[in-house]
Amino acid sequence: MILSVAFFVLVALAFFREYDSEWAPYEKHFRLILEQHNRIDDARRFSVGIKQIWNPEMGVVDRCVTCHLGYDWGSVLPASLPQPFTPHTALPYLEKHPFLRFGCTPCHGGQGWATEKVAAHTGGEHWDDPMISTEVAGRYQMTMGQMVQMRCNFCHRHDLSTQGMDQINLAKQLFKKKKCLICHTVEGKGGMVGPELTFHGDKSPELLDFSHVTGDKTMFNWDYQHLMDPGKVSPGTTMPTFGFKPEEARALTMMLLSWKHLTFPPQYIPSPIEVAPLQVVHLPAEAPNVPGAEDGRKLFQTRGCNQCHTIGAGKLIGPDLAGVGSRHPADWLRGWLADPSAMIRANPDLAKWPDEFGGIVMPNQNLTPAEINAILAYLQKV
Amino acid sequence: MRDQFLKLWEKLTWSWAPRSERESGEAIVQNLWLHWFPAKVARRSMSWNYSLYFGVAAASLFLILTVTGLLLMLFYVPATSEAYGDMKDLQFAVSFGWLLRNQHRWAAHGMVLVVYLHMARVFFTGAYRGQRFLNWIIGVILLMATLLLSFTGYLLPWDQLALWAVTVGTNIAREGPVVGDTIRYLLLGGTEIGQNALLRFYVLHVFILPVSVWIMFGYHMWRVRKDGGMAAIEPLKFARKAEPKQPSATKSYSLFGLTRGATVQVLSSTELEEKDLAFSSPDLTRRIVVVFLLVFNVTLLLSLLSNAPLEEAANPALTPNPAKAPWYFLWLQELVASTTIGIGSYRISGGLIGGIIVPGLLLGVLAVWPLFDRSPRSCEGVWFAPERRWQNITFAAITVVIILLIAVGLGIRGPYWRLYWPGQPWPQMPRVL
Amino acid sequence: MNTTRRRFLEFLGKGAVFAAFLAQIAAAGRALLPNVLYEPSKRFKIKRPDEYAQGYTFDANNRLFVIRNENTFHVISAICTHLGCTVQWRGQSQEFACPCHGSLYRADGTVIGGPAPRPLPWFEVTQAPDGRLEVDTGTIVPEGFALNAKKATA
Repeated sequence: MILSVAFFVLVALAFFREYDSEWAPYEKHFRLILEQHNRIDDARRFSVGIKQIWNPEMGVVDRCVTCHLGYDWGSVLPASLPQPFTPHTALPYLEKHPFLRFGCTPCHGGQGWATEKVAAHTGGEHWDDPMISTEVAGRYQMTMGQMVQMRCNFCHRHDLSTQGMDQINLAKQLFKKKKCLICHTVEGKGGMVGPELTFHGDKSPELLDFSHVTGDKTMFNWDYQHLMDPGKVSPGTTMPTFGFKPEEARALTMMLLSWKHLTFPPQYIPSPIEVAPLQVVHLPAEAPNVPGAEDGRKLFQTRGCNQCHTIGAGKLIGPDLAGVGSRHPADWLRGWLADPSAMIRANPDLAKWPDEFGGIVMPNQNLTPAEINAILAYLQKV
Repeated sequence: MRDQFLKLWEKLTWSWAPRSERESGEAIVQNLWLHWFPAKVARRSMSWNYSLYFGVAAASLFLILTVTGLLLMLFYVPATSEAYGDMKDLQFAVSFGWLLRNQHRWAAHGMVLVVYLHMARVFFTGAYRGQRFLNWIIGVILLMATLLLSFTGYLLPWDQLALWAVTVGTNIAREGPVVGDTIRYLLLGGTEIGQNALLRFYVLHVFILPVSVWIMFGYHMWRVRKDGGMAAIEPLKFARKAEPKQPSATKSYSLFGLTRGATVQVLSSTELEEKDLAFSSPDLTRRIVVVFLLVFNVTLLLSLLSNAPLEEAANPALTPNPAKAPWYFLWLQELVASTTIGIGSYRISGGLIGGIIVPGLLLGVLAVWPLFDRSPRSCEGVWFAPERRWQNITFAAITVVIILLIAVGLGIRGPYWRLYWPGQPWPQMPRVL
Repeated sequence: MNTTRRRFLEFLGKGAVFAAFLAQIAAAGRALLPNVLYEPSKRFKIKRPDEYAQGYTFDANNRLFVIRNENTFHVISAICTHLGCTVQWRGQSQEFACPCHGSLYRADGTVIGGPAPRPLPWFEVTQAPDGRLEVDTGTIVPEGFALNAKKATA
């Protein structure tokens, strides 16, 4: 008898939980809003139920619109309506991204499948694609409008510059100006001193070393802090400190994180707006043979010196080293090879030197004394 | 009109609520569902204290699993491109989808636990002796089938939890000598866990294994009748001083003509006294319904309180940290992770030792244990008979070790397989944003 | 017919049926072992030799490491031999570490510690006619294998 009553109660609870959904009150409220704004016919036709935007081509199943019912009513309902009813902000490019084709999550992130607020916005413990909210953007000192541009670049990666994506446009300019491709490979072009960046956004955060990163262990933090001070995040790295401003590093981080594998049908690929021209990158030439300095020549090539310096082929990142043995005494060269930054600090007349080379200081290569000797022997003969 | 309805109702339900001893007897013979019970059953067999009704609970859970499973099949497509999305739909979009899935999962966990408890009860009451040995073997097979059902079902959501739990499991299979690789190839339908594996596990999980379990369950029940009833009656028989009457050579039931014997009613009615017996309908049937209701309520309550987990979509390129097997296999994973032996430069894989040899040995010993039980027959059907003390202690000790290993795997193993005591926070795992 | 001949013919008949029955079961079993797999090919091309930096490069898609030493190459699997997790390369300590159960391997794939039963296998790597490196994860080569890549520039 007790069990039967308990049974009844539990089933009743189940029904209660099912029908006490988060979204139903919002939908009923929206009907009221429609009536208040004199859309009687629409209010009458409005039916309460889970709504979704489904586009299998893009893999979009977005139930955000179950609560965010005002998204398409921008021409009728005021922008002052509280969330979740607020109509979508009128943006110049919305026409090119119709809701029924793109849904919400391609631009905003989040868990489209969900019909509950927390699950939809942050996704919970097992969802690594949170909605780009004011709170998430605020963690990295950005506005939502700035951080969303990261997702724009998922598709607009190959544009040279895109309207409405000022942060990403800045990042693309910096990428070209600082010649990142000298050391990194992107889409088949570039150098191999640093890791390939073509699909940097797909890399797993768990494979990164966070021991020198402050704050939350996020890939954004790692990339940002690495860009600001490579030597601190990756001790012993040959990546120079470029002296980026924080906003520049943030923009670059967003661009890097936007480089992901995304497959969508050709009709979704945007026609490139001023396609980024293929940057011409010289593959480092073989260092010239010099009798009696084979060890040094090998080191010159395997330690990456030839990524930044040519011998007889002109300035690259750093100066052409042909004849450098006659321009600087052995001791000077030895000191430079050991610690370039210390040399600049010690010699005031070298202070302006980095300006000739795009503000880049030669990073410390962490050479052993034996290696320095060998390279020195080679350089004195070229 | 009302009279006609009442008459119909009477016709349909009389056998469930018999009003006389004659009706009780008739109920068993005339009702399909009740025909597998004897007309009369020993009170001791029916007692709550004796069997704790674990077997009935296990069967109830299996019924719940079958029904919820059948309904879930209407929402699930065993394709790697669809499976995860279907799980998300069940979580958010299907009315009562959360209830279906939660109840299915809780009943599954519950069944593994209850089947084990049932086996423990049978062991502690020494109810596997003599002619009941065959039923014991069937029970062991049912235990394995339960674990396999749970394992195959685990893969179906196609999330990280599913993919990697099955990766661990099938890599252990590969360590089996000689045929290990072929078995893994057969199980997965390939060398990787992909669409073929999902489909094979699905067919195993929704048809091959459940049907086998239902058939074996039927046989398991039939054996109880054939063995004269539950072992609880053995002390009653033992206590009787009078000579048992000769059973009359009337009908005999057999399976493919392989077993022989007189009907159970004939046997038990000659060996047990009237005062020890009660009518199956309504006494036993009522208790079974009570147990079913209790079990159903528990699964409902748990479903309301706790949601079945669903992790990120399966990603073969990223191993979650830590990657854990389902709880009932965690003790095996602990063994596997710690039993790799190095003899000189030759290493014997923990997968072989902890994953195949140890559980294989345990299962084998479990299966043949009744043959080596030399305690007197008076121990049958008695809880914790003193003569069987060492056997009971061994069983209990092994159970405790298994529980401890599971507890370690559940609560103490953290990322990188390091140990984190309760209260010690896990290191924050890196995220993207 | 006399009885022995009858018995023999009976035996033949039952035997034939039984054998055919067995053969059908064997056929069902054989059908379950696939002949074609919808899995990526075990033999595939990776990049050109000069597109790899010196030292250890992790190929996440193919779960392997490409190791370059001047102009010689070899490829080591990144799949832990214990239970299949992806190992990580620690450049500082020059070893492979598996996050799942703590297996540790030296730079050449041999086991230092943890539950791994076998060293990380080396896959055969050759140079395809178009100059790209080609890996065969179905062929394991002994340690010490090295491919001298032609037209590889430093």
